[in-house]
Amino acid sequence: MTDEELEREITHALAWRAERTAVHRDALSESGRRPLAPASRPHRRRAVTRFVMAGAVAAMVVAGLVAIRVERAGAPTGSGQAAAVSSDPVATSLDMTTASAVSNAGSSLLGLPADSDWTVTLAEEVDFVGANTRIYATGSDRPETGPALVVSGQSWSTGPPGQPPGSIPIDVGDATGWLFDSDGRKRLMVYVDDYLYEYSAFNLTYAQLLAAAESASPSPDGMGAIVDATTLGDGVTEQFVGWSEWTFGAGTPLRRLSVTNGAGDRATVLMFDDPDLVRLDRLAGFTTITDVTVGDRPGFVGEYESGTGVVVWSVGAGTATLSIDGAGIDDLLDLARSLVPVSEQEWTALVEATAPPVLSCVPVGDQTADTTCVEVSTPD
Amino acid sequence: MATADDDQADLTRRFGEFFRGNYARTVRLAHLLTGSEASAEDLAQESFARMHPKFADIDNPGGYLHTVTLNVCRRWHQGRFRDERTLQRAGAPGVDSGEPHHLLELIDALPYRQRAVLVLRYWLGLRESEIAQALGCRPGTVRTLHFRALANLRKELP
Repeated sequence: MTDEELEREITHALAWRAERTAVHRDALSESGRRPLAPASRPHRRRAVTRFVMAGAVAAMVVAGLVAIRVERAGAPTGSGQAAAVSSDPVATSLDMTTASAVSNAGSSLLGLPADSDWTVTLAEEVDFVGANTRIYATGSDRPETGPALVVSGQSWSTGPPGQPPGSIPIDVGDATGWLFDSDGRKRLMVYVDDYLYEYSAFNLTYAQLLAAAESASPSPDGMGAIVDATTLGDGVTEQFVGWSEWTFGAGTPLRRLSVTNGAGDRATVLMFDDPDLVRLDRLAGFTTITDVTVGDRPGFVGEYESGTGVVVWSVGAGTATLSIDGAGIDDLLDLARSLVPVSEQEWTALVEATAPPVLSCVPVGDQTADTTCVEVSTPD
Repeated sequence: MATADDDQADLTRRFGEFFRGNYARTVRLAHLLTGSEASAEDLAQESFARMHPKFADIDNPGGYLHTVTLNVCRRWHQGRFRDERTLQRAGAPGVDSGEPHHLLELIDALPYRQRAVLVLRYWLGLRESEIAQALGCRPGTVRTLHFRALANLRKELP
C-alpha cells in the first residue's frame, strides 16, 4: 500500500466513524458542515438531552457550574471518567401481556416481549445523521429494478480524495470525477468546493449518470445536490430527501432500541415514521435483497458485500430496520419477528427506564484540573 | 452605556451560538480521538464547560476548543487504559466496537498523540502549524508523530 493509499484509507475510515457518531443534540446544527434536515416535523425530544442541554447552558453561564455530564449506565461515578461502553444491560423487557396489539396497530414503535432472550440496554431518541441524500427513482415497490439514482453528499475538508481503485477520471462540468463500478452499480464520485458528492446509479447508462451529474446544482437547503430528473428517464422523480447511514432516514428524532443477549450479541432496531422507506431502503447498496415478511408485514433482508445484513420491514405507519453485530440472517429474522408493538407511553417509559443518570461535574482546583462528578438527578 | 448585565447577556448569546455551531463536530472529534462513542458527548460537553470561563478573552475560540478537547480526551485516554488493564487482569472480555473498519481499530491502538495527529490532519484538515499549536508542540514534532503513526499502521496492515 502506498503512502497515498494509506492516507486515503485513513481519511475514509475517520470520515466513516465521524458520520456515524450519534449526537444527541437539541436544536443544534453543525454550522458550515452539515445542514439540518429540512422541514423537521414536531417531535418529542429525549428528556435527558433536553435536560442536559438546557442545564448545561444555564448552569455554565448563570451559576458558574462547570459541567453537566451524561454518564452511561455502568460508568464509574465520581471519577470523571466515562465507561467505554454500557456493559450492564438494564432489565427493561416490557410486560406485554397487557399490551393490546389492536390499540398499537398504527404504532411504529417496537419493544421486546417479556419472555425474550434479549434485554434492552438503551432506548433513545436521537437525530439521525449521515451523508445527506436525495433519491431519484420510480414509484415501484422494487425501485432497484428500474432506473434510479442515489445522490449523497458530505463535507470533505481534507482536500480532494484519492482516486478510488479501478476508477476512471472524468470531467464533470468544471470538476474532476471518478467513474467506477461497484456492487453491480455504476458509481461516480465528484469533489467540488470541499464537498464530496457520490452518485450511485441503478439501471442507468454511463451517459445518463454523467448527464445527471452535470445537471447537479447545490440544494438551497443544503441537502446535497439536486439533479435534473428528466435525464434519468420517464417516470423518475425525486422520491426522498434525508440522510443515509446504513439505510436511509428522514425527520427526527430517530427512535433507536439497543438490545443484547446472553451470548453477548448486540442488535440495534431503528424506527422511522416514514412508511416509504421499506421500498427506498432497497437502494441502500445491498449486494443481495431477499423479500421476507415480518409478522404479516412486507419487508426484505438486505446483505452487504461484507456479509452483514439488515432486515427492513413495515411496522405500523412506519418502517423499522434491524441489524445484529456478526449474526446470521436466521438470527436477524428471529429477533425481528419476536418484536412487539408498544405504545408511545410504553416507549417513553422505556426511554426513561434506560436513560443514563445525569451527573454534575465541578472543578477541583483550577479550571484545567480534574473534575469530580456527583449524580444530581435523573430526568423526569 | 452598556451595563455589566448587557455584557453578560452578550457573552451568553455568543457562547450559545458558538456552542450550537460547534457541538456536533466536537462530539465527533471526541469520538475519533477516543474511539468511544459512548463517552464522546460527555467529553465534548466537558470541553465546552472548560473553555466557558475564558470565552470572553479567547481570540480564536475554534482553535482553543480543539486544544481543550485534545486535553480532555487525553486524560480520558489515560484513564481508559488504566481501567482496561484492571479489566484484563480480572479476565473481562474486551469491548467490540462493531465497526467494520480494521483500520479504525489500528488507529485506536496508536499512542494518543499519534492518533491525534491523524485525526487533526485527515479529519479536521488542519495544517501542520495548526496541529502543532493544538497539541502544544513544535511542527517538527508533528512531522515525527505523523511519520511514526503511518509506520505503526503499516506494520499492522497486510
